[in-house]
Amino acid sequence: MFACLYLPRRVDRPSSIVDRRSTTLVQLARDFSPRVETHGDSTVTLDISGLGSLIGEPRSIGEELRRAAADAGLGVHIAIAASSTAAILLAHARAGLTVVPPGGEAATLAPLPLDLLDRLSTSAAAPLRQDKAAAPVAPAAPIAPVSPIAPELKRWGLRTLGDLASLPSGALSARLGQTGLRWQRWARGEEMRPLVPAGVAESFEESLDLEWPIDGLEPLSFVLARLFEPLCDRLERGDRGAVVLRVTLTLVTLGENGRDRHERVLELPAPMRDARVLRTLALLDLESNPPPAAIDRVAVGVDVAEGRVLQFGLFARALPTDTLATLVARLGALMGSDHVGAPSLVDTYRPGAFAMAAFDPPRTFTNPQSLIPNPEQRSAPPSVLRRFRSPIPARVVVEQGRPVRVTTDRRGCAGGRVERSEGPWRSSGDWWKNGWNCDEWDVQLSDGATYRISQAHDPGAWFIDGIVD
Amino acid sequence: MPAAAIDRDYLESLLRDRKLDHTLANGGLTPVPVQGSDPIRWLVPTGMTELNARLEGGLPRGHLSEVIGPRSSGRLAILVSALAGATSRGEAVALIDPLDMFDPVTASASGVDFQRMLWIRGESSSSARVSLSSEYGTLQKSLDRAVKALNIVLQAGGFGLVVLDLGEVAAQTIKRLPYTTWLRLNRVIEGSETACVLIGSEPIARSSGGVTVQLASGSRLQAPGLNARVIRARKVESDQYVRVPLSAAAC
Repeated sequence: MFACLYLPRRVDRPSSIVDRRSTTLVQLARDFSPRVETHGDSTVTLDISGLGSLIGEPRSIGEELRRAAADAGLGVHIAIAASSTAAILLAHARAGLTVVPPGGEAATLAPLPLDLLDRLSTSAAAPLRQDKAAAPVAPAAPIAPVSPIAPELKRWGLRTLGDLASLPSGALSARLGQTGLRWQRWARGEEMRPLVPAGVAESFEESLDLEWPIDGLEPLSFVLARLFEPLCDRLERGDRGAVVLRVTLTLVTLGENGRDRHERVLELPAPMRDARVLRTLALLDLESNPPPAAIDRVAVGVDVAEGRVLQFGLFARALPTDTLATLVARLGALMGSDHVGAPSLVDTYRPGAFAMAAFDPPRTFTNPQSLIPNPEQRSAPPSVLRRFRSPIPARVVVEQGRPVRVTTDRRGCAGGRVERSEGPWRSSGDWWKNGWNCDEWDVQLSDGATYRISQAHDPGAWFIDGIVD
Repeated sequence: MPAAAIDRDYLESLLRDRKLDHTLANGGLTPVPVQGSDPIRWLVPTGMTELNARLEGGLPRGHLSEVIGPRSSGRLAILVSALAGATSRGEAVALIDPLDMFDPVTASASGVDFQRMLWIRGESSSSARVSLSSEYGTLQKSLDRAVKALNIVLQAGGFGLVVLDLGEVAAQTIKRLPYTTWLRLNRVIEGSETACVLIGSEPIARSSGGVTVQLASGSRLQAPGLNARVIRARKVESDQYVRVPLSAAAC
């Protein structure tokens, strides 16, 4: 058995009130059944099978629904029938409570005007609640066939659903195709498709008002643990994982709009629901960005996604994503978030150019055979440079176009006579903005070390760029 | 049963109780294979054939090793080559760079897969070997942070090779670190599948199963290459250096 609740709309009502009433309507339906499907913002269908043992006859169920709706301030039309199709049509056609005995759907629908199908076909087909956190969200369910064939049916002299239901199906199909047959099935009150329940839009938030303001991360860690544990329990039950973490701290200081707030938002690399990991990430972020005053209220909330299914391997040395997120957060708090990541090359010839990317190694399995040293592997890897991010100014003596002596005032770079040199390699680029134009040399000095030095063309100054190692 | 055998069994059981059985030599009751018996699992090849032969396969996992030598002796080239090999096998690697001197452009020529490399950069310094009091504090702070970062990375696990580059940090600054620092790191890494390597100009620290690769200075412009010898505990190594060729300095 199905019940349909229809909330007639008033065009002069503000959209905010309509939204609130729609939410109340869905909540009302959920109080009676977990299997609820929404059609537009004013129609809800619910499966009431099994409620008989709890409440009684279908009419008693309908009375209970009407009473609950009245308590919620909703003047809804209620229809109960063996098919959801009949329940929807009757709820839209008749006010109050309508209960159809099983098998009597076609007879009950027969006197209803044919315009009803036409009107429903133009109704909105969006689900009442659009919340990405709620899954699985039911697809938008059209209330009635949307093809406009009502004018043609009227030309045939049909006025009621009973007129349409009584037509021979073969002849109707020959003239109007599958659309005509679908309209006829609606008119007969036949079930068109199974009910598709909408997901529950659950809010994953927890908050705590503190009796005494706290100052410092250590007491805050206990508060966060108390908030995250029930939150993660709910995530576990719903098979959800947090992808965005929001921590809102209400401070004791007063601002223009009441109490000051310290809000932090962390985007997590993968859905996770480990309370310890979430607490650690929040604390590490607050360690880097501490609140400016004592805390009066703590609220945490997460945006969720579906939980992860991980396949582990025997030979993989992969970092678990939550461990990786904690590791990067810890290192970011220690060294600075812009100092931790994976290096990446930039499409330029500018000496020393690089960029930092997020460290997220691909999750591929290691081939154990590849761990065996290959005797034919390359035996002459290239030299590598240690680069000074700020090149060291140097004094270079040049004879016959080649550097013969390098000295500098910096400690640790003693300089000396040039034993051997290679170069110059001319490098230039970006002449239109902050360009560079220099000659680079690799010089081996008398101290045994090999340096890379460069001479800028414009001022002619020499610099030590790095050490070959 | 001889008393010596009883003592050995007793000692081994004590080590196992304290989860220190990885240090037992081959022939003991420990199920953990010793170096060389299972190169798939316990060694990280350097990518240099001659050096791998001297290292009996590569750098040992679960131990702290070191690569030492003067400037331009090829310390970084060895480690970048090992990093490239590890990333090509699909392992994640980490480089802790306290003075922010790593150059991705020249390292990319070695074939390092940067997607699998975690680079932890300290504060950049144009000259590390300083003793001025004004700069000393900053340097010491960078070093302390780098050691803490190394500890965090090793505790997280999951990395095949972790390198701490102290090549341009003055030896006297490193010596100011408490020696328990390295003992603690030894304990963290023990038994794991991570090989941890320190780069320095002088000997820093090495665990009992680790190796020291000592490099001699040589010309990097004429006949590029490096001269290396391996020092290992409980083993007498040849004093002769092995010659490893390098290609020309990367531009």
